[in-house]
Amino acid sequence: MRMKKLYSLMAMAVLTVMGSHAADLKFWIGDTEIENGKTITYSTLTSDDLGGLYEIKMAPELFVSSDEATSVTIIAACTSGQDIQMCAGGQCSSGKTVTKTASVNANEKLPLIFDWIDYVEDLSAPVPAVTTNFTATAGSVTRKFTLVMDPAASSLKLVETTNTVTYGREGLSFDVASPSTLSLYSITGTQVLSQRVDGQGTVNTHSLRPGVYIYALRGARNVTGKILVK
Amino acid sequence: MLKKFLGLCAILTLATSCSDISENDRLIEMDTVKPVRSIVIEDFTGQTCVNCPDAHTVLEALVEQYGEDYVIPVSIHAGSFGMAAANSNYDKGNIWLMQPEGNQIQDAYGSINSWPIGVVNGRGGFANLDAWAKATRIELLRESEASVSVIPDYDPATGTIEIETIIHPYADIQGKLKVWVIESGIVARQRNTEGWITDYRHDNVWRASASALEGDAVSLENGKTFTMKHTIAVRDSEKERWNTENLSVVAILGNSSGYINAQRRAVQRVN
Repeated sequence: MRMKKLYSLMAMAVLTVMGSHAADLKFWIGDTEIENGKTITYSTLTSDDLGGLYEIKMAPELFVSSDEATSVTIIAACTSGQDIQMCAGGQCSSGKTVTKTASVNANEKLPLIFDWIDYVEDLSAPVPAVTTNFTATAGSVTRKFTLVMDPAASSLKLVETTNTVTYGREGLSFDVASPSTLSLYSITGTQVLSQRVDGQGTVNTHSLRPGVYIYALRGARNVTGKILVK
Repeated sequence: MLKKFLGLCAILTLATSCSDISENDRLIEMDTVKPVRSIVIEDFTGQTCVNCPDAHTVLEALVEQYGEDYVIPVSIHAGSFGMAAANSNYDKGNIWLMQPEGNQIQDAYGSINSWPIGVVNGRGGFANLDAWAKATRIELLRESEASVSVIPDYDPATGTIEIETIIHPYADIQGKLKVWVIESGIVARQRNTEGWITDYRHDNVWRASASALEGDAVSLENGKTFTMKHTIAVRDSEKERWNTENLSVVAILGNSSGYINAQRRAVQRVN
């Protein structure tokens, strides 16, 4: 029994020495690693019609990873004054600075579930640029980056979360399984466009004046939404 | 290379130094809990909180395990991830569930900024949902100093719920009686990690208090039955529309140490 205890102590001492290896922490946006200390921009704004209220959101897919299982503390501090929210590790928190501590498995990306959200009655309301400093710490290792979320930084306008109709640089894009009618109306109700669509394609909207428009797709699926042409 | 060799030696040493545990001792079964009282779990939640559905699942599991007579969940929409009921429009199918009282109930326990979070039986402050099962077990086995019965009757003619609460105390108690209206089966939006669920079923949603929010003061004498009545109007507007068939009333007797006992009863229609 004494020898067993001695062997266990020796083994633990060896493992402690081995454990002095520092974790290799990384931040990711999607599948792209974020270089330590870098500033990245994100400009996709999505909207959801909640029935009389619109949710507008900027939600980059952010992750943190480590080459060994460890506990990571992530701090997101919004320096531009908005409330942001993060749900990594099981609970959601919001505020100008959000701190989360979570366990990370070796070489597995932990989603930060980070976003900026606002609720508006009018989609033409201005959207702020949101700047957030991220810091991840595991033991003695720290990694940082700055995220600038600014929809004005891109020609992309509001994009619906449904994939059936999206609006981007080229115009109003559709993806339908059967013949449908895609119509566009001004905010006053005047129809400005109507076209039969089928399969995938894009309807050119370059001639439209800046403003809010309502689109309606009628067919096997009925989809409505609003877009903002800048 | 040396590190790998040392690591291998360490692993082999540990493997041979483990104690022998007989097969019969490896799995220890917990005794079946026979609840001696009912408890209340206040789940602070929000429709835009992506992890909050996990808490609802935990509550369902606890009710399934111990029975709905013993575990009474109350989902209180509050905090940063709640959506104010004042912004609802039932006629357009736009249903939000956070009442201003929800934040008051939450704030009475202290300041938090993480959801979901809950309080088990008014005791021990905020607890993460992974602590609810253990706390529930402990509370269910705690002796109670009183029994609580509640009888809620809904009269469509008056549009009100008449509530009678009957308490049988086994000790002298200075406490407070909370009488809350909750509703289940509310189909409304809820976010999860995938996005918005438009037809999420919200259960045990805190709707209103028929008593003072912090509870009506009661002074109970050992062995002497105590009765208290409350009345509350059923809400029916485009901002808030209760389904009387899905309403329940929860009567909670508590004091400064926590909740003593409680009962939940479905609202019954009379006349």
